[in-house]
Amino acid sequence: MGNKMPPVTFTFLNSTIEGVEGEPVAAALRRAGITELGRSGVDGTPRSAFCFMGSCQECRVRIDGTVAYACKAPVLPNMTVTPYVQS
Amino acid sequence: MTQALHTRPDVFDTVVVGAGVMGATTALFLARAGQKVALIDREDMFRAASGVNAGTLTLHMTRAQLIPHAIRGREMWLDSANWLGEDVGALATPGLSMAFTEAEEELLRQRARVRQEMGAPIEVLSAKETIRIEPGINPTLRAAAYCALDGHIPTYRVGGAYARALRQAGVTIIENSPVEGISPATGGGYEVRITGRAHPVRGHRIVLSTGAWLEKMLGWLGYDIPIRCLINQLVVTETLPPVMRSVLSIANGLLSLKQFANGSVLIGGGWQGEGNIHQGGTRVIPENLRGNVRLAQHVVPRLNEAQILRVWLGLESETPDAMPLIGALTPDEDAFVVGCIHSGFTSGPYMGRLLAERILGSDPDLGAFDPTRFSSLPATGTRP
Amino acid sequence: MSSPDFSPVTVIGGGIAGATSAIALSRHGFPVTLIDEQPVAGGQIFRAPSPYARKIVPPNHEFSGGDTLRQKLAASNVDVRFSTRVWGLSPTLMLDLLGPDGINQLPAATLVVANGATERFLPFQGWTTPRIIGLAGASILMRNGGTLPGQSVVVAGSGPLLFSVAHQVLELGGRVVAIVDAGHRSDWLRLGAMLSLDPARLTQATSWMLRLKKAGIPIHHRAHISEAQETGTGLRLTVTEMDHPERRHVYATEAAACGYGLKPSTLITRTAGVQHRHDPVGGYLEPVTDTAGRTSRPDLYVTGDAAGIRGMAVARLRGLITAHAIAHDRGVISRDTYEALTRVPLRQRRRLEAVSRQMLPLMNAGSAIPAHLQDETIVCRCERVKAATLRSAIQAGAEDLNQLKAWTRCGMGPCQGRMCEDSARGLLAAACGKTPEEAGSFTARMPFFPLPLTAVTGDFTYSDIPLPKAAPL
Ligand SMILES: Cc1cc2nc3c(=O)[nH]c(=O)nc-3n(C[C@H](O)[C@H](O)[C@H](O)COP(=O)(O)OP(=O)(O)OC[C@H]3O[C@@H](n4cnc5c(N)ncnc54)[C@H](O)[C@@H]3O)c2cc1C
Ligand code: FES
Repeated sequence: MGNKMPPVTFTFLNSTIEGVEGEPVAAALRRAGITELGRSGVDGTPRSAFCFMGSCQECRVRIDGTVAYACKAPVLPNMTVTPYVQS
Repeated sequence: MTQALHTRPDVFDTVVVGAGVMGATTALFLARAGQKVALIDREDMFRAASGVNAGTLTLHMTRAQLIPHAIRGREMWLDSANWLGEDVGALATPGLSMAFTEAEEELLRQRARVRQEMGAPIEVLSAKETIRIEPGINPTLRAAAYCALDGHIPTYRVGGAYARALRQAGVTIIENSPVEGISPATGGGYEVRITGRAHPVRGHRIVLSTGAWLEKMLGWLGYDIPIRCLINQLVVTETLPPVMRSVLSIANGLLSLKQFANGSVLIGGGWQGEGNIHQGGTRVIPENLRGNVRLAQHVVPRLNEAQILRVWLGLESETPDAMPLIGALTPDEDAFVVGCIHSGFTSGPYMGRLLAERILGSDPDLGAFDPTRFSSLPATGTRP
Repeated sequence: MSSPDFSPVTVIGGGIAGATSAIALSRHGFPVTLIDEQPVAGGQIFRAPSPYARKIVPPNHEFSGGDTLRQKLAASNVDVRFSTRVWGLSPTLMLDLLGPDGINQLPAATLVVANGATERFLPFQGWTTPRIIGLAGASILMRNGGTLPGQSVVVAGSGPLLFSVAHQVLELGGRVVAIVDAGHRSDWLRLGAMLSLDPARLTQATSWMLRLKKAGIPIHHRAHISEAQETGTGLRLTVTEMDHPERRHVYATEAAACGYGLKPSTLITRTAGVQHRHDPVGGYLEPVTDTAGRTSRPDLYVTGDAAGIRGMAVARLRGLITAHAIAHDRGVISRDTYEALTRVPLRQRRRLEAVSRQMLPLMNAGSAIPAHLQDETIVCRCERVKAATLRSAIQAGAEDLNQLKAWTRCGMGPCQGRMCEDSARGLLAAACGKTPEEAGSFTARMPFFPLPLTAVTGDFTYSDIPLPKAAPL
């Protein structure tokens, strides 16, 4: 990898987010000022990436429809990220 | 919670061994009638079948002969605020049993007929009518049996509710106390010996309600009834937006599917795991996990969005004729049994209450459940 | 020496301990399979940095150490299965895996569990707001993601990670608002005195402390965050002194990172049924192991932090020793060779472990917090169960952790109780006057994390489903 990292873009809800290909989705979103990734299915309060280790399960989102961990899943150009909706 | 030894009476009126729904209900109604009752369990109460079951209040799956009892049990659950002291959250819904092949449709009609005769309000619907009721069902179905009386109950809330009710009724609860022997006491009644405790618990009367562990205990009283242990698999998903309202099953009885108020979906139906009740330790059989979940996804295709949260196995007991054991074990009527009741969580409160009434002197019809039906009474019981 | 047994060995966890062990086992001639949920080896501390982090974060020992480890692994004969997670196992050590191709099973003749540690979290009022992140999580986000949790950060909890994270915030150009530590200042001084045994750590610690001091960052010892309020643009944090609850400090910050030390990940070892014990100093459950990682099961070894928290330098030595022990137990090397190979690693390890053990009480300094949680505080994040609900269930007779779970749903959610077990146990133990051991642990259930239903079902048609015989009428 060279030192140049052309930014790629993806969408989260209605926003276009800039990130670096291969970095965790949650990191790119946080730099864009987005911490809320979804809502608790129990009380409707915001959820966010908390442990960054795959333990807490709170960072889960859907990437192009498939459930993924935002703390781990890599940014890819033009992907669509939506909250993991619990009831 | 286990109360200190010195607060116990010397001899209880009744010692109930096994604190699941059967034993706990019997204990509750005996105590409310004024008896001094002890309730013993090898673990904490409501941790075996009564704490891990699917909470289906169904007539589709209940054995046909037990339908009247299941109807009464279901009513009790829906009315728990009144007799148990708190609402445990039972929900009345319709129940739909489905057929996807010709053979299943035939089975469906046959099973519906037998159940109608026993008083279950079941009618067979066309695919179109069914989908109008449950739009999320796979449209390839052929027919469904509709029962207005079905529903479910969040099982996890039941143990705590019973604990509070039992304590209020004055029952002495003795948990984490495996019973290792029962023998007649000199001067009448029984001594119940607990592993690791110097003194036995004494009672004028005993009730055995140890579910899957009944075989061994009945042996102590001279009964030789082979009891089969089923290892039932259950799968629960994370919460989902509403995908069904009714309790769903299929004609051969091998699926039960429901969505709780919190949105999680429970998938059951009696697919088996592996394990051994005596050695403990159970294990999921991957093909059975896959089969059970595929069946669920076939019936409600939107489950393909679900995440499996937990898979577990619960033990259920069954007699050779798959009918319950409820009644007296000795001619002196000082030892009783209640257990091995198919879909027993639904009818449990009613069955437990019936046994309590029987012990208190009334004469409910328990003929079909007589534990002596497999062998004659052991020679004058165990009285020396 | 009996004839050598070269049957395969499976290693779970490609961190320092697991990868080192796998490479050494492979050199001894065993066919080795290494499983890890991450896309490459490295584990927690040698985790591969993201492309962005590689550019932003100054080069450091963890990046270079991780690169070396990955190169060595690539050059070895170890069969690696990355992006593959163990979600269950049977008593016969049949592993249930979820990998890039869905679920499958892998039998393990001999299993080395090297799945490392998880962070211990303790709750406070408002800790579920998105501006609060775990302490280890903050480290991963910054070190491996090159991204600050916020422009200003309060760093709170306990253990050495506090200072590492504070340092990383500064390194990325952020502001550390305050450091809030549950530990005693005197425990740190005691640790400092021992650091001469571990020169690498000493140098690192000294440079961090100087930098933090220069930045004039307030440090509170014997204190914890007691409340967080969302202000719209940030957080209003209340810090309470543990020995003087009336003394409070309020801070405004954009984000906070909070965690109370590490504990071994025990879901796998508990499910395998090996013996565990509660370590009163670390305040956690750990598998009972000997120096080489042998457990109560002859076919299962545990190495690295999964066998008790000792840190990265010890993890490498442990992985090595475990590999040699397996070679010895299988008759591949003699007792003499084993002793020759392990003499130096064992000596180094003893020295480093003296320091690691001194860190355990610092990590566990928050152990008294759960006893005093406010009623309104959420203990179980997944099911949003509050302290008051737990207390009323305990009053009704739920005196064991599993009964408490069954009655309140605390620990029943998708995280499997990883987030709430410590605080629920602490609250229960305090309320009933029990030891943590008596209060118990959540029974491990499968799957260890939520499984996509379609990973289990795959493609199928109705006739593929092997329907068992119909239930009786
Ligand atoms: C943020 C952070 C900072 C730290 N800072 C320091 C420090 O400054 N100094 C120090 O000495 N120590 C530090 N530690 C501790 C240090 O990281 C450990 O001591 C060391 O890395 C342990 O190595 P390990 O191989 O035992 O575990 P790990 O590195 O955790 O490796 C375990 C591996 O197992 C994998 N795994 C777990 N479960 C499964 C599963 N079910 N299926 C498949 N794979 C699985 C994980 O993905 C991981 O790759 C820190 C830890 C953390 C988290
Ligand atoms: S942040 Fe906890 S699982 Fe991703």
